[in-house]
Amino acid sequence: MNDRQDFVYSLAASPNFKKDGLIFAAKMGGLFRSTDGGKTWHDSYTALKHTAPLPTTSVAVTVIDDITYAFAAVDGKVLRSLDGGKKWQASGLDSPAPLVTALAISPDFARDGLVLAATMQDGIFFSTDRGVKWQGWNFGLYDSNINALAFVDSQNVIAAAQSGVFISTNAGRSWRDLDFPIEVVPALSAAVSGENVFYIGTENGLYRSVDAGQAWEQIQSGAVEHILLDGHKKILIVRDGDLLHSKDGGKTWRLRAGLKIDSTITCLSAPLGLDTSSPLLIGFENGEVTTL
Amino acid sequence: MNPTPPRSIPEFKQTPEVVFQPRMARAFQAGINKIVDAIRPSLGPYPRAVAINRIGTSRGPELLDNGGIIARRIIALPDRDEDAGAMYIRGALWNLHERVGDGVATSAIIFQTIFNGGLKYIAAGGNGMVLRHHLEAGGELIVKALEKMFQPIAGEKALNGVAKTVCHDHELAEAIGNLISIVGADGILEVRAGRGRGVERELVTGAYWSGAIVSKQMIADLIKARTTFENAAILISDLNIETAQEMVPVIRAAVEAKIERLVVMCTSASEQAQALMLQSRTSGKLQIIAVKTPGLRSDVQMESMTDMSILTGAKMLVKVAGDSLERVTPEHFGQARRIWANDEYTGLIHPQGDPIAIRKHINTIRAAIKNATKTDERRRLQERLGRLLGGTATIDVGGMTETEMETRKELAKRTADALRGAAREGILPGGGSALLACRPALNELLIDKNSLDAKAAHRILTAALEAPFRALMANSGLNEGKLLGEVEQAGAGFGFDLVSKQVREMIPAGIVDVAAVQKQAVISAVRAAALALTIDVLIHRDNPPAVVEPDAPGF
Repeated sequence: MNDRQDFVYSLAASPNFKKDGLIFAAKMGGLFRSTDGGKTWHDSYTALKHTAPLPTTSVAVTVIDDITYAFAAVDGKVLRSLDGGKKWQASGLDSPAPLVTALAISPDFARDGLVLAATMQDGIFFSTDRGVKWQGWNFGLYDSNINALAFVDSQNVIAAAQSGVFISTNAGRSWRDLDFPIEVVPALSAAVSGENVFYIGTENGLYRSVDAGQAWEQIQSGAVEHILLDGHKKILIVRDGDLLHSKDGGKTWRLRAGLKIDSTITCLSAPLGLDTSSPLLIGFENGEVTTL
Repeated sequence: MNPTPPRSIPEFKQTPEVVFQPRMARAFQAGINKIVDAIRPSLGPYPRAVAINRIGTSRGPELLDNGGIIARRIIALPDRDEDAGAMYIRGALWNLHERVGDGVATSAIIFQTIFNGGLKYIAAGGNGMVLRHHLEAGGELIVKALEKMFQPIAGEKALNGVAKTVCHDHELAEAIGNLISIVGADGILEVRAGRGRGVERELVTGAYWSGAIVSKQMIADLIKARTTFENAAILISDLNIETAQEMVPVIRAAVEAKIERLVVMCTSASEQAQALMLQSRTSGKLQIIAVKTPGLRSDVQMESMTDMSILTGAKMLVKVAGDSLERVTPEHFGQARRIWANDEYTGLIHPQGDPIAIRKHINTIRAAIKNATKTDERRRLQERLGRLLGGTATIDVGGMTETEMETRKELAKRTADALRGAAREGILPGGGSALLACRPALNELLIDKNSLDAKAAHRILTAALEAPFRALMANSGLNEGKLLGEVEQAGAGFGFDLVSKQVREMIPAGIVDVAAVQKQAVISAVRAAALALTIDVLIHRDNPPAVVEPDAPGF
């Protein structure tokens, strides 16, 4: 998995990772699938029999009743798989073809079948039938450029956008802007811990709200492009290309050891949490995926 | 937006006259009491109707059960002294109705209690000006106490519940609850006359303005009767395009910017200019349509053009600024993922202006709404905000008869306004119980133990806070004094459920009031009544004004 012309947009691990070792890497050159925790990778689109690579900008995966649902975003479409990424069906989003930046699956997917697709230029699309049909609903979302999504629960979801942060309290059907400091945008990444604690990574620092987005405090400087959380205390971020972690809720930070960086980090996945003994998968701009 | 109701000139002789006390106060009070007593039966879940004769028709009287509408229909009292009092309270109530859509009966009853209690105190030697000061201070204490009780509301189910308490029409309540849950507190919800008997709803993505395509020949999709351009550019102006030649610099700049589909907004386009644009449809390289600049008044045009420019990132061309098409450059074009136009409207879907500039503009409009003093101004700003936020909901309200349809339409508007208030500020325990729970907050008025005026204000406001509960019970034929005692014993948040006829905790029982409505009802009633108590002389002019101005200071 080392193609110098490639780029890893997104990594997504199965909730049953410990058992099935399933993880996807969405890349410029297509979607790659590993069933051994990232040791070996295979083209997930073989069944599609495409001659040209199918650039894949985002991927998400979940398991319900032993069915492994995977969603992958390609040019203007979302592909859906019910067998852990072997066979795929395509659903169109809208015209002109949107560029999907993030896919997010509802924590209550078994009941609501909700999947959201954030885009650059076209706002957010949602599907309530497990990815079969998609609709654009953007009431209140006056900024159509969305960089990241994070579910709080099945009804509440936050979106990091070019101009700030938006929240939906009705499962993505409508949105309202949060009072996020305008001088630090764009908002690049988002993560949620519990009901009221939101983290937003921006071009100018990492911000946290402990009251569901009413007030924000800066807890780290620099451009924070990725955030991973584990419980209330453990935070891992990519800041200005460095991997930093905190074990005390952002009071102190350390560089994550054991990583030689010779390319820009583009995405992260920690399928078993943020303990140093748990695997951390890192995607790079050069197409490589490394496991720490 | 309903215009301010015209006030017809009464038939009594219009001679100038100055009216002093005590005649003035007595007549003013009589006029106020007539209005409030007409509205009072409309309070509660089982409102009784008020019949009002129709003017200029042999049809039967109009049956109304809404305080705001009743206040609007009462256009004059025969006694001109009384009429002055009646029109004073009518102005305050109508302003409240326009502002929040509900709460008129509650406000009227609070006003009446304060005014009558205040007059009694002044007649006994109290000072009206000092009393006003204490009443207004007490009003602020009530509002603070109410604000502490506000509970947020979210979700369609909860909004449906509130809608039901406002309009008592299940079909309408469900439709409006659903739409407000989607468009939110600031979104546009248009209420239109429906064709059938039921209620139909529709959601339109993006923002649109009333700017028609200039020629039907420019409509590309004849089935949908509209033209939609994807990844399109827009030139925003209020210019008149008189010759085809004027379009040359526009085309040159568009080609330079590699634009393939262009919408030119203008006040008018000559036939030659239109012909040139129509030719573009067959050329394939650059397709152009023209649409009319939205709005008829120049200020409305300017507001629409400003909003569209910020949304799309365009640099608009304005006639009064001396702009012309001669100097159009690629920077003048705005962008959107889709632009559509038909023979009525022009719409933008996912405009591609600078998101930070859009956010700043939206925040400016939000601040302007907060500071707006005129109802009309506030409505216009809210419409602009709704458009900027993207998306419009429409509801077509039908009825068995035209009268029923009109009444339901009015009810739908009122319910939508109230739900917006609920979505913004939340809800309160209903049935008058939130107001009852504010009484202890008034004790702060008694800090100065020697102030008789403060004591009077405390007494009057306490009675005013109880008055809506008493009226609700009396309207249902129940013993208000006994039930007030039972509710007091049950504690804060409890009230009397008029449906199940038992004392219950109001919010869990779904008996709620819209927080913003209750707050405004109290503010409006206290301010207007306190001000009315300081009026000492009434002057009748020979030419009374034709319109009552509801936005008068103090309301």
